[in-house]
Amino acid sequence: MFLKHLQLIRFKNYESLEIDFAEGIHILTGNNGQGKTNLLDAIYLLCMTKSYFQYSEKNLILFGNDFFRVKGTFIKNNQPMVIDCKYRLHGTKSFVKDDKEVKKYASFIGTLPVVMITPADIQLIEEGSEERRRFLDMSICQVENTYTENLNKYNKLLRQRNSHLKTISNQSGKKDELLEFYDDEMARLSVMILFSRQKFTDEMSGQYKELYGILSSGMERVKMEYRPDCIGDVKEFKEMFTRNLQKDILLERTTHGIHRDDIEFYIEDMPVKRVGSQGQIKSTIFAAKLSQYQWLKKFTSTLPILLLDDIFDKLDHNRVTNLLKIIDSNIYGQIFITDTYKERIRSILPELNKSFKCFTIQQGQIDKYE
Amino acid sequence: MKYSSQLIEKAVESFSSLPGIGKKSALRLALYLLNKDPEWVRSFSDSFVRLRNELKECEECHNLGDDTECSVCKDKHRNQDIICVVESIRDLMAIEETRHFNGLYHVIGGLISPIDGIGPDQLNIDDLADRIQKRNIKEVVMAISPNIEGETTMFYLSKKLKSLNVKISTIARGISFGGELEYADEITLGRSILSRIPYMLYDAETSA
Ligand SMILES: Nc1ncnc2c1ncn2[C@@H]1O[C@H](COP(=O)(O)OP(=O)(O)OP(=O)(O)O)[C@@H](O)[C@H]1O
Ligand SMILES: [Mg+2]
Ligand SMILES: [Zn+2]
Repeated sequence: MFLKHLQLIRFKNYESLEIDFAEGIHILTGNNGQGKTNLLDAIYLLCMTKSYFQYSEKNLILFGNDFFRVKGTFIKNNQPMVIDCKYRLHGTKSFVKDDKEVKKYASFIGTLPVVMITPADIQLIEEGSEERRRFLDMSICQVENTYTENLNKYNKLLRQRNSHLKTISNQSGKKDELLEFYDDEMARLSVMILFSRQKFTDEMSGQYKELYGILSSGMERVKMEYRPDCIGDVKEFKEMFTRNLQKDILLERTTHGIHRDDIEFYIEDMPVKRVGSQGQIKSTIFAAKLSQYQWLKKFTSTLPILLLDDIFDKLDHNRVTNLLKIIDSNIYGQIFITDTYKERIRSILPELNKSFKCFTIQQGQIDKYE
Repeated sequence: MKYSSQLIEKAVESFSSLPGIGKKSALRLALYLLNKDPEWVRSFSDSFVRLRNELKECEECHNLGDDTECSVCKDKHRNQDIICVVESIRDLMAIEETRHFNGLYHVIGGLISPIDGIGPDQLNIDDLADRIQKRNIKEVVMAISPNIEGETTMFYLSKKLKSLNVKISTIARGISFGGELEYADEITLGRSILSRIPYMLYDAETSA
C-alpha cells in the first residue's frame, strides 16, 4: 500500500500543494520550521482520521483561514483509494473515502495502516503512562475495530463514573444502582481490552528485542513488559472496583482499572526511564515503533506507511546506519524520512540497496530533485 | 446595519435570536409582517405567548398538552395496562407518529448522565413507580436510545421497578435505529415497538 498523490490546501503552513509519490523511500530535507513534520502529519491524518500530535482540527488550519483540506490517493491491492478530509472552522469535519462519508472512524482506521516516529515520541518514555497506553491503543485499534469501540465506551463510562463519584458521600461503601451499572459494564469491557493488550505486547516483545539488538549492534540486553494495573476475569474486575470504592469516593475518581495500565522498557533489567541515556531512549522508541510496524504488517496483511521524522535526532551515526540497514534488509512499504541536512542523510544512503527519491521542503513548498 | 426605526431594530433582534436565523432573514421576516393585516400579526404573536403561558405538563405522564391531563391520558380507548417510557416529548411524538403503539406514556425528561449533572433525582422516575402501582400497570416498555446514558437509565429503571409486579421490556433494536430514537424512520421504529423484547438485567457472573 502506498500514497500516490497528496494534495494539501490551507493545511498548517501549506497554502496549496500537490505532489506525487511512489513506492519506496522518500527523503525530505529542509531547514527548521519549513513544514517537514507537518507534511508527515497530513499523511498520518489521512490514515488515522486524526493528527498524530492530538491537535484539534482548528489548529491544523493555515493561520488566518477558515478551512483546511487534505486529500490523498492511495494504492492498495492495485486499486486506488481516495481519502478526502475537510474541516471548516466552527463546522464539522468530513472524512470521505471514495466519495462516501466515513461514518464510523473505528471501522476505517486500519484500512491504511501507518507508523509514525517523531522526536516528540520521547514522551513515550519520559512522560506518564498515558503516552504508553496511547502507543498500545494506536497499534491495536488499527487491527481490531471492536477494540476501538470498547475503549471509547470504557472511557465514556469512566468519565460518567468519575462524575458520579463526586456526587456520592456515602460512608457505607455500598454501591448504588449507577455504580453497579458502571462497574458491570466497565468490568466486561476491561477483560476484552486487557486481553487485546496482553496479546499485542506478547506478540511484539520478541521483535522488540531483536530490533533493539540490531540498532545497538547487539551491545545491550533489553526487554519490554506490559504492566496491567489489574488482571482477572469480569468477576475479579468487579471485585476490584468494589474493593476500591471507598478510596474512589474519597478521591472522587476511579483509582484503578485498565486506564492505569502501563508498559515498562528495560535495559539490563533497569527501567530505561530511569537509567537510559538519550540515545538509548531513542533506540527504545525506534525498536518499539518498528516492532509495532512488523506487528501491523502481519495483522493487517498490508505494508504500512512508515513516517520517520528527524531520524538523526539524538541518534549517533552508527545507530542511524543500523536503522537504515533494518529498513533496507526487511520488507517495508512506502517510507518517508525527514532530516534537516541534505548532506548528512545522503552520505548514508549509498549504503542502501533500495531506491529512493529526494525532495526539499521550503516554506510549505516541495521540490523534487535529481 | 443601521435601521431607520428602533421598532424595526427590536423586531430584527427578536427574530435573529431564534436558532438558525441570521440578521438578513430576520429583517426579511420583520418587513414581511409589516405587509400583513394587524389582526393577523396579533394572532400570530399571540400564539407564542399562549404557547409559553398556557401549555401544561400532564400531571400523570409529563407529556405536554392544553390541560394538566394530556390527550393521551384522557383517551380511555387506549390500552391502560402498558406504559412506554421515553426520554423526551420528541420521542413520544415519534412513536405516536408510527401509530403502532396504543398504550400510555411516561416522559422521564432526560437520561442519567452525571457528567451533565443529571442523576435519577432530576428525572421523573419516582412518580413512574407510583403510577405503576396505583394504576396497576402490567408492562413497561423502555423506548430509550441504546447509548451509554440510555443504557444506564434503563438499568436504573429496571432496578427501581424490579420489586413491582410488572413486565419490563425494551423496544427491539436488532434493526439499526441509528442511536437516536427521534431520527429513526417510522417503519423501523413502528416495527421495533411491536417486536419488543424482555429486558434482562445484565449478569456478569453468568456470562463471564
Ligand atoms: N496552523 C498553522 N498555520 C500556518 N503555519 C503553521 C501552523 N501551525 C504551524 N505552522 C508553522 O509550521 C512551521 C513548522 O512546520 P514543521 O513542524 O513541519 O517544521 P519542520 O520542517 O518539521 O521543522 P523542524 O526541522 O524544526 O522540525 C512553523 O513555522 C510554524 O509556524
Ligand atoms: Mg519537524
Ligand atoms: Zn398524560
